[in-house]
Amino acid sequence: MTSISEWIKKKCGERFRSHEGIYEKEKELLEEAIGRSKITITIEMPRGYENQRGDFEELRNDKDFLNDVKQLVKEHLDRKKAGREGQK
Amino acid sequence: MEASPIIYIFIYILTLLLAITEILPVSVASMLGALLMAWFGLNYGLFTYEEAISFIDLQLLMLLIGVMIVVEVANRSGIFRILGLYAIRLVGGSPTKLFFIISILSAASSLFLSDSAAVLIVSAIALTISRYLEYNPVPYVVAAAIMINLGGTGTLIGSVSNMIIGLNAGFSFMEFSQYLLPCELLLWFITTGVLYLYYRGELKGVGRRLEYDVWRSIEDRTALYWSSLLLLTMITLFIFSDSIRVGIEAIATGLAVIALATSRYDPGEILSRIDWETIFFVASFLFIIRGLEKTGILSRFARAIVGIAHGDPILAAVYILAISGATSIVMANVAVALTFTSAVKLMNLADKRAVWSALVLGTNLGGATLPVSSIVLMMALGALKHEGIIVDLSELTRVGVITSLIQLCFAALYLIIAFGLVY
Repeated sequence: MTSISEWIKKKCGERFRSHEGIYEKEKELLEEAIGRSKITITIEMPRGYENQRGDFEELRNDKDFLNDVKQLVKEHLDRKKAGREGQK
Repeated sequence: MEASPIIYIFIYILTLLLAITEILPVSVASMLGALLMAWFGLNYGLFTYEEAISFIDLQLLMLLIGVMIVVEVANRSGIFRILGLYAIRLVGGSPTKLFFIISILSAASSLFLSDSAAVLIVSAIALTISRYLEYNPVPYVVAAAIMINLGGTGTLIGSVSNMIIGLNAGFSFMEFSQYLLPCELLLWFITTGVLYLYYRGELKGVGRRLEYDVWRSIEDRTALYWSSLLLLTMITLFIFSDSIRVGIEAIATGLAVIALATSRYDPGEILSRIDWETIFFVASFLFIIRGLEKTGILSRFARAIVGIAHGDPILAAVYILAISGATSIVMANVAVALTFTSAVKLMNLADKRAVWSALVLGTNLGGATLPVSSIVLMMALGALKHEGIIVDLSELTRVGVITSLIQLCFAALYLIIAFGLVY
């Protein structure tokens, strides 16, 4: 039973992957309309950490790291807003 | 020398097995079957080369490709996305209202779009909106998939199987809708109601008001207006095709050429997004069916159905509904439509409208019973998985079985009442 269920899940993934590009484009346009915009940034591995290349590359899937980045974004946006209000 | 009909049945079953198990892509499995059928059929004198050439149904292929191109150009412009966003903004952010509007939107979009295109758009909308509102997306995406499967039943261009059955039945665009659209609309409400009862406990959340500019999702407004006009023209010409005496396949092909020549999109990109897999599958599988027809097996099946029904067209329709609905659970509905179309054509009945309608209902409604029954549920599951959401397959099967059974029972009742009054 488990193997059938695994087979079905695998097939669903395969079917979807062949249309993934269209789905992603659709989502991107929807996000554009609904208003929660996204930015994509490239972060270079810091100098002196060459021996931790694997750890560095795994950060893209590290939930704690991503939460820290989200928190950092909030702090920066709050600081910018406070700065603008202070200028007024 | 003649070959036993068992060889041809074996080719048919082998093709289906290869397609169902996906050992080969469905189009390749079908082409391999057609090649075997051609080799045995020609060598053992089942049909001549000229007959074999006539097995290719140009009218059907023209309609399929033409409609796919016009709809793809419209889809590419974002018309279905913008309609969806307008409708969702109109009902606000209430989880229940959102559930109903996504269900109806899914069914409505599937009247024109292919199932796979509809499921991609609606899943993207449902997943984006539910994430934005912090709702559980599963009820919305599953309901959308089931409604998309149902959605294409009422119009001749609603699904590939409808085009196959409609053309063979000799139904005009309007006749097809006259017999099937009332049933479909009633099924929309029944199915949405059943799905709501099933998922109502999960439709929770604070109904935040959604404010957004729908036009920000459109890249090129002129392209949107032009492709919408082309789509509207196609439907209008389909409606009046009898009066203007032009075949719907000619209308579709003509407008497809205009769409490719005048839309602002790269024709190569539009053509690459056409469902060639289905087109090759249909063309090759039809070849296998025509060969099978020559063996006399399908006429025996047709006689058996008419015999069991004692020549009563409504009873025969109910049998066809049940058999085609059940076979659509395990077989691609296009294969079911092609097989049963040949059998229905051979039925000795004075009036076959009820039987043709039953075949449309059976092939469409059986398709969302199991997660593997149709591409719609598979793609919806794939989209959820892509977003990191794993759905319990047994639960999905339960929803599919409940809705399909209710739909098939209602369809039987509809056939008895609607065509009982005609005969």
